[in-house]
Amino acid sequence: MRCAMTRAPVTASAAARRPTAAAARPGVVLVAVLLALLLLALALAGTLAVTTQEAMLGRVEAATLRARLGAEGAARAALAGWRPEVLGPLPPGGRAALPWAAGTGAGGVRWDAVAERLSAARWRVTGEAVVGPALNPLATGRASLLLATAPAPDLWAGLTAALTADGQVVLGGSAVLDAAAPPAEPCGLDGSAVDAAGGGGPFPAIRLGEAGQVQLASGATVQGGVEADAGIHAALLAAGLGPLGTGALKAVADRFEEGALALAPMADGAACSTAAPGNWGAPLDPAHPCAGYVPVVHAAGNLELVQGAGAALLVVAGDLVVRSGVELHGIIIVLGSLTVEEGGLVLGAVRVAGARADVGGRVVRDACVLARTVRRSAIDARAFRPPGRWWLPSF
Amino acid sequence: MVRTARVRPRAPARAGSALVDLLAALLIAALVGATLAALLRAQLRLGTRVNARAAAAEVERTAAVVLLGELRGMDPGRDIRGASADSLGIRAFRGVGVACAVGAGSVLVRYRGSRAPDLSKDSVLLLRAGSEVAWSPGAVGKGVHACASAEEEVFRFTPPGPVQPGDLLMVFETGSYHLADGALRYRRGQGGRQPLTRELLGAASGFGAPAAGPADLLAPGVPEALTAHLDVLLPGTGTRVPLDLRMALPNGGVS
Repeated sequence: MRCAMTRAPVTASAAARRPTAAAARPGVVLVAVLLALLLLALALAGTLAVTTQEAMLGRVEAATLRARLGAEGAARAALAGWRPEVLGPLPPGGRAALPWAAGTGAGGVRWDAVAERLSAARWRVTGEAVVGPALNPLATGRASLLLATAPAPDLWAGLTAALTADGQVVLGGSAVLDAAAPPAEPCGLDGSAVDAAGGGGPFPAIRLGEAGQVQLASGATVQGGVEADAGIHAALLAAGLGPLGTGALKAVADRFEEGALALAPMADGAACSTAAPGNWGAPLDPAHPCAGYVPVVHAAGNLELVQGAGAALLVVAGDLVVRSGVELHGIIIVLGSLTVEEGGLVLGAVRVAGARADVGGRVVRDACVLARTVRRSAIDARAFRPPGRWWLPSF
Repeated sequence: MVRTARVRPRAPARAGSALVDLLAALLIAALVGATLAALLRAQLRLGTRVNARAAAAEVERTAAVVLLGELRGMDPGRDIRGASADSLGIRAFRGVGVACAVGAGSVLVRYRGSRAPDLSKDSVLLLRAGSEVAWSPGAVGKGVHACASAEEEVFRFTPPGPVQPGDLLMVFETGSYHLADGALRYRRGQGGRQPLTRELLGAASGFGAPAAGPADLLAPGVPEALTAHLDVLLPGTGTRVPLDLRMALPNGGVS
């Protein structure tokens, strides 16, 4: 009875506690949630893997770009800081590290450059850069440049007269064109350099191309005569001087001038003030601090020298006027017309590509001045971009 | 009886409460499930987009690295042999050497390149001051000379003409790059066009000078830059992304 009495309530209570579908669902939901979370984690991991890989590739790509730019920058720095005194003595086949082109940058990038002398007048400069640790770099880069120099013997062939032209040459009554004068004394150079500049003479005072004509006023003096040269033409004269194209001369120019200019050397104590306006050296005063300064000068337009004296390797893209009283020493290349007034003096050699050269003063070929211009401007040792290909494939 | 009287009438209340529990559980489960499903769907969409962008970036990266590496040292006036809207025929340089020593009929060259010279597919461009001459070497073999640095190898070439110490010898194969059939492709000589990228490029892809058409690439000394236009399809999205790779040609412009 007791048992029967107690069984009924127990049965009612058990019915309430019987496992139902609702009670089983939390487990299903848990499994479903876990599965969904697993899928989510997998998708997330996949995305993370791709983005991580992209980040790594991006890092390597950035490092590669920095290495490439570092190498190209080193090669260009080698050219910009070219040091004839260091590289001039290097024999063909020789190589030299270029410390002025080496450096380091933030983020672990290091660059340097090496110059190889391929021949007397050709060089290959290779810039190299590394990003990251030296033993296990993240990226490396190389860039090679082909460069040219203009050895002095290659220049003399274009300076075989006091005046070389392919247009009309008009000589006034007081004009003197002289290719037979002895070199200026004291020259300040060893005899062999002067002999090289004067070698192959005697030279004519005027070398004329096929289109050239000479008109002499009474009283004009031409020492050395006039020589016709079928190999001379305006385009050749306008191209520059032998291996030195006008573009190369502009690229290596020390000074850029235009308009009217008074020449005067300027020194700060014992140092030549090469940045001073009109300072083209002191060719008339061997004791002056600027006596050894012979700049490469480029004039993009017309140039008028109104007074003073100076020395230069001068390229004038327009017309050049040398006024009375001016004394100009050097190698003069004029793409337009030339005027040398009575009382004006040009020592060295002049090439005129334009239609007319009016000379009322003196133009004298001077081997000493030519040798001095080449030596002191170091134009024979400066590097420049050769015509055509100059960036080389790098491996 | 006492015991019977102590039993509380709990069953009706528990039944209702179970239903509420069940509904609440179902509601929560539905919310969680919906959230998870939305998260999963968003994640999958994000994954698809990320993968698509990565694939497009890979195409762009490969094209940039290959074309830039190939074209940077090239003289466009001389080394581009043919150009059309979708192809660029070039001298593909594979190494550069310097003549060290010249003997009877042969020259020893210190060489560095992406691979060794191969007589079966390579020609040589001889660079000397003021001139360039292309020739096919009669023979190529390994050599020994002290002129080489640690990073260089020495090869013996048999040139058809005179070579002087210091002359540059640039080893090249004739090849062409194509932006065709959905990919950037390279073809050596008359061989097949091998894909270098995934086939994700649309028909609008092509080569050209920056401000003009591909014909201007053939004008000597004129092009200073080259543009590769990539019309990249983002896989799985149906989206196209136009990209221009404008590459400077440092040897172009002034000749």
